Amino acid sequence: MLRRLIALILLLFALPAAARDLATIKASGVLRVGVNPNFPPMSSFGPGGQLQGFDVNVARALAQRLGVRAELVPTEAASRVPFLVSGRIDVSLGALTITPERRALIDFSVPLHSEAMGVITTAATPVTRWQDLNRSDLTLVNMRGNQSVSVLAEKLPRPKRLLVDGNADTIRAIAQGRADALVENVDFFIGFTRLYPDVAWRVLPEPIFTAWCGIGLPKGNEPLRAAIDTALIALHRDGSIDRLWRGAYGAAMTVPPGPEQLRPVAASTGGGRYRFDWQPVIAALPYLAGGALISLQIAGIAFGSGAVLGLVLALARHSGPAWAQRAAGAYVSAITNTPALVQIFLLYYALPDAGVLLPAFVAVTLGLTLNAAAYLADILRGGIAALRASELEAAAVLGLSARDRLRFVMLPAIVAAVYRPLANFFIVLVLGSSMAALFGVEELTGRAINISTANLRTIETFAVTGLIYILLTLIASGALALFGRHVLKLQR
Amino acid sequence: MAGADAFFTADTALFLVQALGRTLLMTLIGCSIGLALGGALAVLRGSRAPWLAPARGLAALYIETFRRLPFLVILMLVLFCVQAFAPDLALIGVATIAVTLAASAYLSEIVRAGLESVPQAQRDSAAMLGLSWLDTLRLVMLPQAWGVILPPAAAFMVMFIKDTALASQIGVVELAFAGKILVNKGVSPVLGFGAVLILYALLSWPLGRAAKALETLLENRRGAAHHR
Amino acid sequence: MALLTIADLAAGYGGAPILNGVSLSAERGDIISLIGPSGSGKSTLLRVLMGLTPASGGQVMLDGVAVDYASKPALTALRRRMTMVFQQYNLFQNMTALANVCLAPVRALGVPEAQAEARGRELLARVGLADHLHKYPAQLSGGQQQRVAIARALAMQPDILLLDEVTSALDPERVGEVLDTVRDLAATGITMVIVSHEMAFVREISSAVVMMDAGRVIERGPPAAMFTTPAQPRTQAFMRAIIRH
Repeated sequence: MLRRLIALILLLFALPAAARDLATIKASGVLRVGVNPNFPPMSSFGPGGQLQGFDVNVARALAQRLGVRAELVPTEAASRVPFLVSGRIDVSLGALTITPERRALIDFSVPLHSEAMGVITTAATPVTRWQDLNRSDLTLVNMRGNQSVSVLAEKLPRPKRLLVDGNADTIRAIAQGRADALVENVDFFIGFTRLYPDVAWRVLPEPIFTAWCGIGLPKGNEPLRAAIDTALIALHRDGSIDRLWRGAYGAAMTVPPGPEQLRPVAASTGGGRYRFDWQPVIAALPYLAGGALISLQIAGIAFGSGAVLGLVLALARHSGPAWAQRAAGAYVSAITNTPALVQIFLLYYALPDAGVLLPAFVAVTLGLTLNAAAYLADILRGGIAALRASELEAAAVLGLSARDRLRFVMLPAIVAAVYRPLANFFIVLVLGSSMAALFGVEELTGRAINISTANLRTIETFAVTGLIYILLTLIASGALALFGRHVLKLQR
Repeated sequence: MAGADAFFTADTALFLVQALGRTLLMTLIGCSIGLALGGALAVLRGSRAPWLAPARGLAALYIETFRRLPFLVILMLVLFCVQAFAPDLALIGVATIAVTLAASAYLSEIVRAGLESVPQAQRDSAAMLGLSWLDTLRLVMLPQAWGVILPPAAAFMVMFIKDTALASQIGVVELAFAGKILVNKGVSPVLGFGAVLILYALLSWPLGRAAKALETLLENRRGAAHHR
Repeated sequence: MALLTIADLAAGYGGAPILNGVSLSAERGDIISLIGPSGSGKSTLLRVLMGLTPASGGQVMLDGVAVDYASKPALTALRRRMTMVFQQYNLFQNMTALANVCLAPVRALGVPEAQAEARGRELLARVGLADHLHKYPAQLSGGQQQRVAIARALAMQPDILLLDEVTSALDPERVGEVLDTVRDLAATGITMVIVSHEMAFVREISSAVVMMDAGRVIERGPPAAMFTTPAQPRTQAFMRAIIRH
């Protein structure tokens, strides 16, 4: 199925990309602009649920110059290039750094703004220059999908790294003590430090280097690129960009683009076609396989500890005193009626306010354990309920001791009743462990996101990752079934 | 508590209610189409005609595949694959397709168990009376399987409300993402995520109870019928 | 020409043979009873005749024409001439007695609904259930359900009716009412093949009795001879066992 699916997709991508040209855009009267929905003050949802910020204003000004209306499409950092390639958006904002890797897939306008890479840290971190950060006892936080990730690996190889998904999460990680410093565009991130007034924030004076962010465009769409360049250069020259930047950041851009940057580059070559390239993913297979082991580890720990806790809950509900029955019931209801993801949000983001700082791996595994306990309690209770009174009576009539009754009659009956649901739930946990990726744990999905944001081969990467999950769960199901049949001697 | 003032406003309430609506919409549409699709797959898998064997194999492969992929991975794959078909589809549409794919695989197994709960003898009788397969399905199998299918299917749909929280990761502003946006704007995590948890529970708990009540009702009806 | 001819019929599940070359024939109006120990292949023979269990060899002929069980139209045609009543009645649980009886004439034979319903009422009255038309199977006793099942089979207006242990699942005091119904049917001249353990009834009603064992026909004869002076030792042993019981 997956192979057929992939073949189908290949076929579709062999067709010219669906990107719209300038004439189509003008005819439709709408320019679809990708902006990050979660990146204040560039762009974020305002009080009325409307997007607002620097990028939003730039999008409107650009559209006005083209004589069309701007339609804002929320686009996460990692989706910017894929959305351009597919034609979901006509142009992408969202601080898209101009890099050679991206140039292979998309085109860029002249720079919109700069990205002066600097260091945000606190008084607690003993560094004065950015070079001082190259120590293995420090942790640098970074945002997935940002170009700075690979720059860091090159310039500062020693520190541990923590990858998070949102801009606000980076500053929160430092405020909560999960990381020591952020190496990023200071302009973008310094705003979030206002959320944590008690922390002694500081910015190291010397920027590491300056990069340029342009407006992303579909490849080979020359008239559109020329039109956007003309409009953007005009907006720079009449001071609009500077004014909008000051409006959003309260200060001028650290390094504004000069005449050198505001010159359109020569037309790009190459058509707008996506060609499949499996090489980067295949090269990363060992890395992904390592991630699969971590996924299994998370599922295993959550299952084991969840089973112990679940058994306590099941016994409490089945034969505990009234208060214990109620408490266990309330626990199961509370957990099973709310998403594990939001529970882990609370463990990870809210507990630090109470002085408990859980590393991502622990927070996710704990969250899944608490969940597993609730679901396993229900399964185990079902097993206890499956005991047939007639068999227990027969055992009693035969004069078996309480211990023998437990060992030869009750336990085998319970195990037979719950083994398959338990095995199925383990698979659910393996799949559920993928949530850990969203907190920066580098298990299978996390590693897939990491490499797809670096190699931009999203479909290839996730197709292979999906196959690994299928393989992993098939092996786990098979092993559990064999164990049940041959070791526990269960009848099917 | 930091940001508490910003939290208790009409705007925030409206924002959360809209997000709640999206969560409900994704689940409802995705699971309804998923039930229809899954039902068709289950009927296909229950067929016996030799020429349908390859289709049965494909249906089994489809179901096994989507039951063994994390919902997060399905979301990512759908997000980037749907690009090729319909680049204009809203993100909530992408998420709904992902819900449909996952739900159809799981619900198919539920429908299959329901159909298999109807004794073979009923099928024999229908065959012997010369009923067509469609009549057998429509007039004999489904009316009897319905009581077995409905309770777990309803329970599954209620379960899936919570799984749609992962759609936040592709940018759908549903309930979980709404919580994250509030927290990023300075609302304290306890307040922001706590409110979201309570909203999920307010949605899931009564629906879960309703599904349970439905199960009891159908069980009692069956039980009563047998004892008359 | 015989109405029904069975020639060297064989069947088995996964290599274990259940029918080992059964040959039988029935003339119009015959009432043939199959007797023999459990597992001798009597019920399987009926299922193979109906096309519910596939045969592995031999053939079945209606009016001298071989039935092609692999062909759907042929199977449909067969099932309009020959039908079967099951041990467990197998009524559709989601339909009333009348709906059970009318379903196949309307859906499979294309009889207009009003006509099918009139005929359904008449058939249910004939089996003594005129007062139970709108009851669901779960609201009827086993004997009543079995009579609905017989009415349902008769609604197809078959030439041949197969009865598979129609009284075995009933409470003892309900057996009589079903046997009375079958006795009435026999008087109409319909051809029947009966599998039954009610030996007195078999002896009374049959035009021929067939002894089966291990998937083969051991012996065939008129009822009086089969019950008193069977020729084969296997039949003699079976009869002795029944009488001692």
